[in-house]
Amino acid sequence: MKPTIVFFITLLTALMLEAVPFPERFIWFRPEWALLVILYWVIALPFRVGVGFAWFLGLMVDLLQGGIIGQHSLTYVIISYTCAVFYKRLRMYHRWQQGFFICVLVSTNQLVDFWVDHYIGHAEPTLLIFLPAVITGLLWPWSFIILRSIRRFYAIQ
Amino acid sequence: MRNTVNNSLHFGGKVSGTRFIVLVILSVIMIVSDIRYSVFSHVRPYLTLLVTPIQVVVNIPQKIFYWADEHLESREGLVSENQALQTEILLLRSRQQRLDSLQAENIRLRELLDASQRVDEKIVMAEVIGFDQNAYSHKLMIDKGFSSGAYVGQPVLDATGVLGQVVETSAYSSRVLLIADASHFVPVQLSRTGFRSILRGTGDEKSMELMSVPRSVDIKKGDLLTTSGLDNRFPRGYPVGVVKSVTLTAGRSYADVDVIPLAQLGRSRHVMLIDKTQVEPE
Repeated sequence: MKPTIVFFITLLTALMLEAVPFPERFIWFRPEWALLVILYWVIALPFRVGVGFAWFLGLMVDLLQGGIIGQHSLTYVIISYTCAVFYKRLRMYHRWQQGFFICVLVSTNQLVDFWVDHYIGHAEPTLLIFLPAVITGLLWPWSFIILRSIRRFYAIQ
Repeated sequence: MRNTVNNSLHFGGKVSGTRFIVLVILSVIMIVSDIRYSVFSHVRPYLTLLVTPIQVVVNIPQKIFYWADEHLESREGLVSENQALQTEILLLRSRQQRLDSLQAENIRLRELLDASQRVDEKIVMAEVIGFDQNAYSHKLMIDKGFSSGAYVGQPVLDATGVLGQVVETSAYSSRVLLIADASHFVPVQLSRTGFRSILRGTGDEKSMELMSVPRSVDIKKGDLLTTSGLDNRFPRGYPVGVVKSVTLTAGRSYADVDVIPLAQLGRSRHVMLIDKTQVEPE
């Protein structure tokens, strides 16, 4: 399969995971699938996958979730840009350190989400909003290993 | 990784700060124009078409599960289900007969009063294809869009009560805001006394709040609330919820009335869209 196609399949898979329903009770345990995938590509191929892809992916997530248009685009662009700037340093980190870094970045995403939802009027302040960030950070090492083997197998550069 | 560096020469080899700033500004403009000026309300149905295939594919496992559930049943199971359904049909038929005579009587009385008649609403069945993965909002996706006549503001019911209303349509799917969402309000009427009020969602699917109920109002646990039709959106007379508890707090001029919605908010699989364009105003 052509490397570009494989790359787009990983993005599509991330979007599908975004659309998979989660039980109401575990709604706060849902990781930010799309961010896990796009951040891997940003760190692995910072000059090929950049803020443009992140912006488009964020837009798709907004359409899927029926939120405010631009909400996820904004946070995805900011987070991807931060990772792209620090990609050399991030690659030197241990997986779990990377996971922690991702967790902090995703927290900003959760904050912006919360602000927008609060602005339109239906969000109660709760510390639970940071739980998805923690889950995303914990999943990072595994998604990293999976995506790296995909990248190596299909020689995506 | 080494290859990346080689490749990077091809792309300028630098992470573009300008592109970042441009995209951030663009996103902020999009957010503000969506919230403040609803710029995307016309484009959104077409943009949503981009993600509809994803929703359909994600729904396939569930479809297979339901299909298996329907097709892999034993003969005995089918026979007993058939019998149960036959009994239910008989029951419903006998009730329908009474309803028919009541309806005829109602029409006669309305004629006497010179009031306009209520027409039977046209109903479109739809299947739930997904729930919104956002902890703050309670919305679900259904598989009928404006190509099947769905429109924004259309009331949605399930078999047991009012479920919500359509807030967004695309060609082949629509988004339904549930009555339990904190931004949703339904004008209701107490079927026992005719007292009218507004039922507000709280964001909790098992509890809703009846607004501004004076302490003196005759209301008690178990009272049925139906749509009052005063909003010209939900047709009159559909069941919405049952009063769960009435709390009178000393020093407050209003009673706190907790209501359980009757519709299976998180669990309905089939829903009904009511075509209100067919109904004459009352």
